Amino acid sequence: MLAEVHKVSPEEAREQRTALGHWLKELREQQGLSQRELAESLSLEYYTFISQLENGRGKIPTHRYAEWAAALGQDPQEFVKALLFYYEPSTYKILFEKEAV
Amino acid sequence: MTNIYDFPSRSIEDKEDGFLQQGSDTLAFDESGKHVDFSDKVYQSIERSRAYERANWSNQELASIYRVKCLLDAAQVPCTVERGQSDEGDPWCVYCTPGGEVFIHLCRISGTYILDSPNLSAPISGANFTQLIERFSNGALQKTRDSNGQKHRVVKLSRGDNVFLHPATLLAALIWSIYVESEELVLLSQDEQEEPSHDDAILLVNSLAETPSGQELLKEATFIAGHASDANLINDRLPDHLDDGEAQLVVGADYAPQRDVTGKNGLFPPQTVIATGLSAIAVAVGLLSESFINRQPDAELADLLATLPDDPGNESLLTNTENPDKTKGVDLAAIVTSFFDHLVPETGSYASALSDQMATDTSPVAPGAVLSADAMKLLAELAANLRAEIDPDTAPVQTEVVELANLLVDLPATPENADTPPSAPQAAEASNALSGFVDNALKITGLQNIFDDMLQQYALGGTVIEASFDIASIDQAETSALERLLPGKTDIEKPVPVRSDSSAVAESAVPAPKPDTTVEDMPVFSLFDDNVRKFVNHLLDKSEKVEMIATESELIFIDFTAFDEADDISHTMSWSLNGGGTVSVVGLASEFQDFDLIVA
Repeated sequence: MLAEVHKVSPEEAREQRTALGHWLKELREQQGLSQRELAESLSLEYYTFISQLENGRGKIPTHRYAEWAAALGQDPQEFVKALLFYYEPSTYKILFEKEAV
Repeated sequence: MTNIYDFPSRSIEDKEDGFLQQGSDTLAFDESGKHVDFSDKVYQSIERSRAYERANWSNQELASIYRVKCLLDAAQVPCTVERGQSDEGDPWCVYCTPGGEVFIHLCRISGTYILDSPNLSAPISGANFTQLIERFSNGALQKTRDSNGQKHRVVKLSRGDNVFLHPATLLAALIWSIYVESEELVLLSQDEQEEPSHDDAILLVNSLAETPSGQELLKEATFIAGHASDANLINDRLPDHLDDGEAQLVVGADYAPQRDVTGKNGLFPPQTVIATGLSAIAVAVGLLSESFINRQPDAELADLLATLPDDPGNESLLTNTENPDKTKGVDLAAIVTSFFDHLVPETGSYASALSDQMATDTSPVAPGAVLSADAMKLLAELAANLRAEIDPDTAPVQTEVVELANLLVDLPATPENADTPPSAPQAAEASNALSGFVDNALKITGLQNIFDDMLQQYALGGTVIEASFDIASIDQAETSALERLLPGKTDIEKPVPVRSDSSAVAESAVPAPKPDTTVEDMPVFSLFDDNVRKFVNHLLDKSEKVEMIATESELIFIDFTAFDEADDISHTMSWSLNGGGTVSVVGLASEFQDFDLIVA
């Protein structure tokens, strides 16, 4: 039974996160922020974490979604919805499929 | 008749220089056409591009990063390495699980390395990998105490002044330690202020021998051995069945202490991975063993034997109850039992008998338990059988077993010898031992024909050495370099030539008693491998100014071109020989760099 559970393959997850990285980069540049400036606004200890995310590696910590939304000038709900689309596509589909139709 | 064509001259307006323009920037040439005049924006753009490239990982750094990956792979920790540069050019790399979870972020920002992991309470930073490790050891892990409030065991591997550990070695040890949330594999400069703790231990883990990759590593590796405060320490670390369970990371969704900044989940390796991986990394990089086996083992064991009562036949051997401090932190029984149990399967019957004997001798968890006379006798039999059965030429690992067995058999005599003033026959014996060591060491290194008939014995610092040159001729700088390798031999300026006959040696050079040497004092060296052999051969081929000095446990090659110019930078490095002893090289730092032995 467990084998039937749909799992996102590492390749799929990587593609999703790479796409998310591009989107995050666009948002940052729209705000006119450098990676270092964004990291400072988020009080990150090393700004290369921004570059890492924009390259599709790693995830934004769940408990900091709201801060990221604010730093990138996004509506928190829409921002988290987008993150869910990239990080948890199956969950996103269940929650928002009807809405999309 | 000829046709004359008249080509109209082109007006300035017709000049097509659009290709020289990009936006508001124009590329212009001076009148000679030789020099290019960049506008400020173009120039700055080029400079930024160059700076961006310069800031990237160096080849050496990349080599270290990917060597760590290889070591982790060998340790059954499959991972991928991804890297990139920030918009300012600062390089970063991440080690990811096969599922894509990042478990290590390493970056260099303005020359400072920063390393972060979900398992760290805060990122650690330093100017080099050594500093990262030092800061890690100061409690960077989230959990530094277990549920019983006991501090985690810390293996401290002493580093001598002339010891160099490869950056990848340091980085692998650090990443591995973070990965398993353990402080057990930490390379440190010895903290002299810290008392040796009962919990301090050198792990004896040999599950590596049961994996194909591990067996490959073992061929070129030395032993893992050392202190064990109790036998259970080792047993707990060894997997019961290496094949049980896949070596996969488990992402701990419920892991409470998450890092605030990155919020990444804690990662938990299975227990099997811990033991196997620890072995793989430790053996692959030669981290652990030299301090116990390869590096002047007689001195090491002398230190261990200091914990033994003087009379091997005394029934009070089991535990030194009158002076518990004397046996603090050392459980020879545990070392020996585990050593033979796990490293030498074919000696299982002996090891089993030994274990049984020790089980009747003392409680397995009794700190400071030592071997009984019966156990020592059993060891002697074991050693004798090993010598008879094992061919050292075809079994490099087992050769070390014989070495250990030999040492163990000699245990009771060592402390007494240390306290006995040397006699003339002993001096002659030392001279012969010196020659024997030199012959054997040169054979092992493949350099036996280089200094034929060139070696002469000298009395130096109360002992006898062999040298391929007149050591009275060396200058101050060279003396200084040698002093580091031959500490305590302050009369190096006035060496006394010694005739080869042993009586002359006895009269002119009575060896001084060896200074007390503790385990903590012993430096850790990498193994003398093919790359080092090529390096030494390169020096010998390159220059006629390479000479050799030999002590009873060390060959020292000196490239005197390292002292030709005042601004020459010399470097000293040492390696352990598989058959015991050390090889050191004094030479130009740049030569070491050429062979990737040190980083510029």
